[in-house]
Amino acid sequence: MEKPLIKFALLLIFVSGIFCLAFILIPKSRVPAPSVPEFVQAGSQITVREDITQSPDGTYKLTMKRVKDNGWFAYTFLVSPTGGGTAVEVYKRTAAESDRFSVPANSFSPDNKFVFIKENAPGNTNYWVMSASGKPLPGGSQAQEISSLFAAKYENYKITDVTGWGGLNLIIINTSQETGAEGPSFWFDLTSSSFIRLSSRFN
Amino acid sequence: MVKKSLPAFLIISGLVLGIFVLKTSLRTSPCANSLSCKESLELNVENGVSGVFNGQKIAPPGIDLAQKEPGNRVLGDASDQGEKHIYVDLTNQTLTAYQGNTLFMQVPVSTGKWGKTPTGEFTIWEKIRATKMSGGAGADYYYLPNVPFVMFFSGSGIAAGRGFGLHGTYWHNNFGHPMSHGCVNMRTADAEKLYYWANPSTKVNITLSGPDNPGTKITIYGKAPD
Repeated sequence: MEKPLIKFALLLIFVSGIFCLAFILIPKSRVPAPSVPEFVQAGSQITVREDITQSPDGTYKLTMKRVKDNGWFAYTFLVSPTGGGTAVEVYKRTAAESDRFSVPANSFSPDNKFVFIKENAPGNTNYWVMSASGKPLPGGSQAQEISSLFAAKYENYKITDVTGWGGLNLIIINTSQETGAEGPSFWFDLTSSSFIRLSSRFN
Repeated sequence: MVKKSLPAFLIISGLVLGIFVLKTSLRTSPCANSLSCKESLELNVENGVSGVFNGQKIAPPGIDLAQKEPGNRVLGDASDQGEKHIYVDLTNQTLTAYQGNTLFMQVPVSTGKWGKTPTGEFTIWEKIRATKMSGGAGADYYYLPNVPFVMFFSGSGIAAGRGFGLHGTYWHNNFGHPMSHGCVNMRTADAEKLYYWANPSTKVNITLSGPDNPGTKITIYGKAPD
């Protein structure tokens, strides 16, 4: 009576062993990956950040949208009336995670015709100016980067801050000297893409 | 010899002293707006007239005095909620308004760069929907029609006629940094909100404070960045 019982037990162990082996060896890739339509994938990108600033008269707002996209970040800058209306895309950039764009509080020019934005990249800070209507700037370009233009002209000074607008097309720039001491302030005249050194500092 | 030269010495000393006093008094104009001065204290709308600031020609925004007041306006009353008080921090270039212990607004402002903003305890004595402000000389000259939502204040040795006030600003956008000739520059949207909140309560385009309609207190403190 004992022999059939042992045989049955061995058979049971053998069969379960085969099942276990099959479970381990059968590749899981046989399970088909779920297919997600492209429009669903695009829609599921997460807006990780949204910055908004208003024009001084409160009639327009500049919105920065930052969306994660395959390890990169897609930035879109939109100007729209605060009371509702069509938003105009004024600037678009894809940047690495180490680059951070932001919208300064004094971004709008006093007449709401231009805006500037800030880019913190590793090792340097850039300031971009663009038309609030989405049209090219007076010089013909879509956007003008100030910092590199300044560095090419004034080797002894470094931009420490761009605080806002001193006039309709005058951007206020504060600088430091090579030694780290306080440098002079400058206007950046958007209409002529030139810098004007000022006699007094705009702190 | 000493007796002879004494009158000449006194005359020369008198002249030097006179020139010094004259120069000092000219440099420190009693008005916040050295050219428009008393004219700034009156309601003044000049639509279509160009302005000048930092050597640039500016088109001021038009002002329609007949325009109806917005419906969502916060009127300057409800004294049961506590006294209204405005604080201007020159060091941090901010304006904070409270009613009792409740914060109404906190916004960046621009105070005196070319002329000092006075510190002390003040009271709003006049509110004007719009006026003209002009002053300075040379590169510093400014002519600004249609300055909106003006709240003139006095106190702490500053007479009402000197024209120091809080007001909207359309000629620069550098708030949070000194940028004025002594007044407190605000974003126009912020100035409008404060104008209809602060006392004297107003329903017309020019309002004076009085015993039955006193002005909101303003405290200005700190030191503006050099």
